[in-house]
Amino acid sequence: MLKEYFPILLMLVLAIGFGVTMIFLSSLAGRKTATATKTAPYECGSLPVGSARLRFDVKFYVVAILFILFDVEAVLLWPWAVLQAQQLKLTGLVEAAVFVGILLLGYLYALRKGALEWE
Amino acid sequence: MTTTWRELGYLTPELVVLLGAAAVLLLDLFLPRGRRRVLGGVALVPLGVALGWVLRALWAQSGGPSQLHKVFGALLLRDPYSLGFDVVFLVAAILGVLLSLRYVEREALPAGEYYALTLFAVFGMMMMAMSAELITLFISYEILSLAVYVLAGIARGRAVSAEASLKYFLLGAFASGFLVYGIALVYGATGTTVLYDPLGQSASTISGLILERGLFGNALLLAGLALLVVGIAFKAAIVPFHAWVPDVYEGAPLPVTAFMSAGVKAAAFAAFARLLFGGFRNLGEVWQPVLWVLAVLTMVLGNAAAIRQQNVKRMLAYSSIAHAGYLLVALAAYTARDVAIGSVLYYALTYTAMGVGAFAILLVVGQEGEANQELSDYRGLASRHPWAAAAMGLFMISLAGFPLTAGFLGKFYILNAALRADLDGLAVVLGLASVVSWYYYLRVVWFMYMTEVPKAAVRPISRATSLGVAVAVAALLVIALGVFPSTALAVAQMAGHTLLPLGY
Repeated sequence: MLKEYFPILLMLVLAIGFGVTMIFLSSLAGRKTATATKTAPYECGSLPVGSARLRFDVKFYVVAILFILFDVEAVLLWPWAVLQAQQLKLTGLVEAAVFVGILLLGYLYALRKGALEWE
Repeated sequence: MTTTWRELGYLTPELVVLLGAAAVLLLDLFLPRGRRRVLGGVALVPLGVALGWVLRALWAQSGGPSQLHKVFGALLLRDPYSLGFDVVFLVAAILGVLLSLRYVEREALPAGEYYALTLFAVFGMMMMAMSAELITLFISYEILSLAVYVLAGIARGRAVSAEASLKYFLLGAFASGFLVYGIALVYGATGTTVLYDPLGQSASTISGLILERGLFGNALLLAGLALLVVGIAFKAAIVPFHAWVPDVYEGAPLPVTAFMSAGVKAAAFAAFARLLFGGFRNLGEVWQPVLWVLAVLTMVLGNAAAIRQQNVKRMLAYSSIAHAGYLLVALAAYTARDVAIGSVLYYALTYTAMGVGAFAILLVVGQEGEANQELSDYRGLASRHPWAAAAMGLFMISLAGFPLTAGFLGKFYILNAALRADLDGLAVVLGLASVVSWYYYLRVVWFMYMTEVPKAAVRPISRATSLGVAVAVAALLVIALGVFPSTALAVAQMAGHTLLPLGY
């Protein structure tokens, strides 16, 4: 079985070898003139403004967590919706209602605790 | 659909606790800030109802044949063993909530989250004791752990509490990793995650496949078992996986420490016994020496470190490690399993009573912001507050294992199991470790009764009714289990037998 993977290994070795060789050759043969402009850091072509180590507002963190939570809910409900009518019948409906009900409680909790207020 | 409803019926106490947690969270949203103190009382209701259900179920089975129900396939088992451990968890939680009522208010902790997380943790513990399948075990373990990580750090204003929470979380995440890795390896070796079938109907379980395929020396399986042991030993605070215990127990709010030291440890041992005596019973020769070494290390190190502590809370943290060692002795006595499992259950209950009781006295003597926890604060307590000193004395001599207390009988039954399993060496270490522990337990008694302080230096104590009730309940349990052990012991033995193979 391992034999079938040999071409992949070969490809990997070739790719890494080619990249490393090229970098090595260009540093060996290339001309290097370092000016102040050339060594300066850049972001997307424009001049950098301040440090990249900024403080972000902790509110983003709460919003991101809530997003993940309710996003996963949608991910689970999608296959449920596809199967519901044909196979899951009443049991499936009750189970989905329980699941959404629990998430609704979570939503209510986030709402009352003020997690969705920005100011 | 009807089967589902009947199976859900077996989970009544778990569901009651879970719904209670949701109710506490919801109530917290709509109560004005000043009236949130009622939430503690609300949290006591589901715990009390669940305890009543569990005791009634145990009562109905004592004497008669024990009832075993598989729930959701064979993922969970509703047997006297899980019911017995449910009693331990619920008693620990009820005492824990009683200790918290005043504390949460005084330290201005978020009441809704506090009690809801306590209930979620209890739910995780109860599921852990029922799990007969590795993935279910892991999920219960995580439900319990996540709730307790937050509880340890719920006093956000105090740096030590935040530190405790972070340490516990980081090391706990490692332990979870070990557990999952172990599950993966065991699954790789056997092709199943079901531990065992108590009714003997299915052979495709871990314990059945080990026999059928002769996997006794299978490297994959043994490595998996080792990782599982590490994962659970971490939660049970067993040396050398104990490094988090002193800091977390000292940093966490006192009622949380009390609840953790009794409940989380009992849950870990509940899962441990089910794992070893259920799933890996045919590998006993392999894991018994491992437990032997761990037990000796835990007893020696726990007691040796406790001697040096000046802070009573930290001293109790190390003593809790030592008690995990005593429980391990019972697990190592696997050739005498007909008495060993029952003695684990009995000891878990006695430790809950005396351990939580001792922490309750810490709350009585302690003041705002967790002050007054040094040994010297107990100077002359007997002459100022005789009742508090008497209760503390009772818990200390019970922890030390003196006759007529619960601690003595708990140790006695563990020693009995060890001697029946021909673990004479381990029994001797346990005896010597207990003698060493007398020093630091009796030192507290000595400070309370044999020293005096000038009148001016006398400090007030907390006189909350809820604290008094908790201390009284714990003290009564310690005396009752020490003087009239027969009922509790019979139930514990009956519960222990449900883990044994049929016709043992």
